[in-house]
Amino acid sequence: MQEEPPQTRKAPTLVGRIRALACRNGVVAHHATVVIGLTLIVLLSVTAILASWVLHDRAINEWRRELSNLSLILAENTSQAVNSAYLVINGLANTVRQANIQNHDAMVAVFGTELTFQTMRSQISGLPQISVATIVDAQGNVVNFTRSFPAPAISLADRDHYTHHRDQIDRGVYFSVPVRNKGDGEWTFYLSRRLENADGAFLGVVLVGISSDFFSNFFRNVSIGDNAAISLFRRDYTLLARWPTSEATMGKRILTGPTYDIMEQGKDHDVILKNGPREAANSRNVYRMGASRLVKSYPLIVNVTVTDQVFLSGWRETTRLLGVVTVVSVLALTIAFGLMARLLRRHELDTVRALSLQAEAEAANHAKSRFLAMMSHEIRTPMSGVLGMSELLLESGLSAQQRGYASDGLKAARGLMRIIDEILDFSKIESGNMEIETTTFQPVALAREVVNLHARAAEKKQLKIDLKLDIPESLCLTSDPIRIRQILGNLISNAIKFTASGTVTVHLTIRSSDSDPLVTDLSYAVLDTGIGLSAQALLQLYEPFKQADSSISRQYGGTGLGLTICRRLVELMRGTIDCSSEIGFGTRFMFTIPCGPAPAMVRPTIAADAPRLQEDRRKRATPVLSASFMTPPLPNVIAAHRVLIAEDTEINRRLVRILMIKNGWIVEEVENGSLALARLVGSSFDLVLMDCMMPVMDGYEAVRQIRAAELASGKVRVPIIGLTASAIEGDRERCLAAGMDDYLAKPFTAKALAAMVEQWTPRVPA
Amino acid sequence: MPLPPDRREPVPTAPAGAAPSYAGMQVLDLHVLLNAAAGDRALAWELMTLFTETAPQMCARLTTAMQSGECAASLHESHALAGAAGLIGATGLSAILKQIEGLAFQRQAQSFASLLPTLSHTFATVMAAVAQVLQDFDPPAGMV
Repeated sequence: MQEEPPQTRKAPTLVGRIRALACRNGVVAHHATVVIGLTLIVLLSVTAILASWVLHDRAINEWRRELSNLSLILAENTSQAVNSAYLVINGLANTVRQANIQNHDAMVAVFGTELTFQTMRSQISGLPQISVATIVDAQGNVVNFTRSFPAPAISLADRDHYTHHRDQIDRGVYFSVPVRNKGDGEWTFYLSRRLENADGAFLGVVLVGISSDFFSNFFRNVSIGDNAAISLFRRDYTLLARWPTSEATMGKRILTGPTYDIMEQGKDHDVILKNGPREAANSRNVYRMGASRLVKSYPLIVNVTVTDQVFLSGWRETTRLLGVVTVVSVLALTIAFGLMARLLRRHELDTVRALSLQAEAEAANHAKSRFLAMMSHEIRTPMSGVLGMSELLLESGLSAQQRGYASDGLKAARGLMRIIDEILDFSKIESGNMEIETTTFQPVALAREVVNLHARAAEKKQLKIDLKLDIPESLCLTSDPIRIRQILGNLISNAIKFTASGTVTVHLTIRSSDSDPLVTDLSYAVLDTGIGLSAQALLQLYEPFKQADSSISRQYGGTGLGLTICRRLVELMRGTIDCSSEIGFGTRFMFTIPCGPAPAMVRPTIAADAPRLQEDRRKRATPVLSASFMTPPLPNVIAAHRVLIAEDTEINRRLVRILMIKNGWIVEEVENGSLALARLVGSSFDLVLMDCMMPVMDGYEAVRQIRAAELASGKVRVPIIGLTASAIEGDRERCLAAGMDDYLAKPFTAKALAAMVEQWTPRVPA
Repeated sequence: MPLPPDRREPVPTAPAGAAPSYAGMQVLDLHVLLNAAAGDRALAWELMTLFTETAPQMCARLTTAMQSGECAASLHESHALAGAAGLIGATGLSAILKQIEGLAFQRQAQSFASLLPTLSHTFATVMAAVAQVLQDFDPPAGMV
């Protein structure tokens, strides 16, 4: 015989668990709040900065496109305006050339006429950009011009266009530096061409004056604001026209602006950002965006420049708004998280204080428990003497009256011992000193013992105790039989106490645990036909020192600790206890304990557990120990095997269940093929007894699917025996064709069933 | 349980007026039940009690199905009741039910409807016989 060492575990105290949880939650929550708050604030700020950055880039890019387009339009318009002037000047030059003039006198004679004056005026009419057309002789004197006739004596010998053509043989069009016009004083720049006689000698110059104001006005009309400027440059960066006008820079070469930077890079157009001195702003540093573009076919450049007050104004406004929102959000978050952290901190401090108080209370409770345990122990010793002496006294020669007194004294002493035992157990559980052991036992033998112990009490009240077994007699499991016995005894004792007539039924069932296939859920149900419990009483059923109502305590006695102890013990064994009741119709208690499997070929006997049980009882000095307690050693047994019965008719199901249980099988039942399929998933059975005709899904289809699943998963083929009473021919063939291993016709005898089971499960002990 | 091993008498037989094909059959053969229960008289008593509790509803459902000509329901109910009747040794009732089951399988609703009076009479006889057996003998001891 191999005895397995009992395993023990102590219940962790409730206060300990609460303390650990509270400490962890409190501290983590406080710090986590601060960290989360800071993280959110940082994230919000970073997001706002990134958004601002993106918006800045977007604003600049949009303005780049905008200015580039504008410069293109301006260049096109400028080109058209200059082209008209070209036509005029070329026309005049051709007229002079065709006149074949040889000298100054001929020039004056031919072109100093009113006819020429009228012709020139008509040529420039309708061209507002041309302020004047002029013919100048070789000495720089005006021969004729469009302002008046005859032309006054005006010398242009000091002008750059005159000296350029006099000194150089340049037959192209020359763009002059803008000057104040000697006629009307307006800023004008000139397009000029050299005049020659047939020998190539210099005869003079023809001019077309273009008003800078014409372009300034045009630029003003398309300008995009106060901080924008549009300029027209000669190719050498000499300023020809500008809006807004700038007297100081007119006619000067501007070598500090974006135009110079772009053109010097060899580009014909571009848009750049520049932060540097600006001529128009007295050489102050100005951050600006400049778009410059060469005017097609002409030595001219158009430039559009805007300062950051223009191209960043939208972005600045958005950023300001974004900043306000961000600041407000950060403030709100700071306040909210600050408050939350403060509240949590306060909660944490409260928790610490509460834990401190709890620790004190726990210490006091421990002291109380120790005191109770000590007192119980100290009281039990003399009480054992009282009990023993009372029993001896009853056996001595006493008169009837004396016997009555002694008997009452004995009963009172026994009642007092029960109370002391309950208080002792409760104290042990409360102080966390109750130990749960794990050892092998037989649930049926245990139930029989407890029922036997209470048989006498039931008999006195003329109550019947039924023991209903839906588990094999020889089934062995592992758990703590001492505590199970204590719980079951308490429930049966209560059932007897609160039942005036009728029956107390103890029902044993098992089923495989859903969570762990190695664990078996063992259930003991105690049903009585007693007074029952109200719904209110059910709510406080397990509270210590409470009974259903005060009248119960007066009428039936008791400490109100029994069910509390039962529940705590069940919980220590990781089980459950439930109660259902109706006043006047009895009560049903059921507790379920998850039990482990018995080790194979171990001899699991109640006797193996007897020393501990005896010790436990010796400690309690229980005087009602029954002589039938010591069950004789049992034969070697092993854990029972499992059969699944699928049968829709209750009477047939019950017969098969009872016969199989009698043969040592653990039975599970379902009512149709579909439920059988579901039960077989994830569970292991040694045999399936399958009715063929059932509702929802018949046995044939169920077996077909079971076999298909076995084939797919590689699972071991479970023997399946078909059961049917079908009047239809060919059932056996159908059973075998569906995948059943054999067939048993109903009604069958117990012997036939046993033989069939033996045939298909030869290694399973029946 | 005071059920003697040779209790073929005084088990009631079919009364006069029953359908001719089942008239000679025994109403209740308790040996069938005892053989099924491995001689366990307590179990036999329990199964008979269960039969009295469940069979009337089964018979009522069968009758309704037959009256309305529902072959599938008649097939199922007759099969279930035949099994239960066969288990307690009501061989005559079981035979009628199997005949109904066969007809229902062949979808001969008109034919099995004609068996209703016979079924009703035989079922009542069986129930009376079972009640008599349960009344005559006390519940078995030793169920504790």
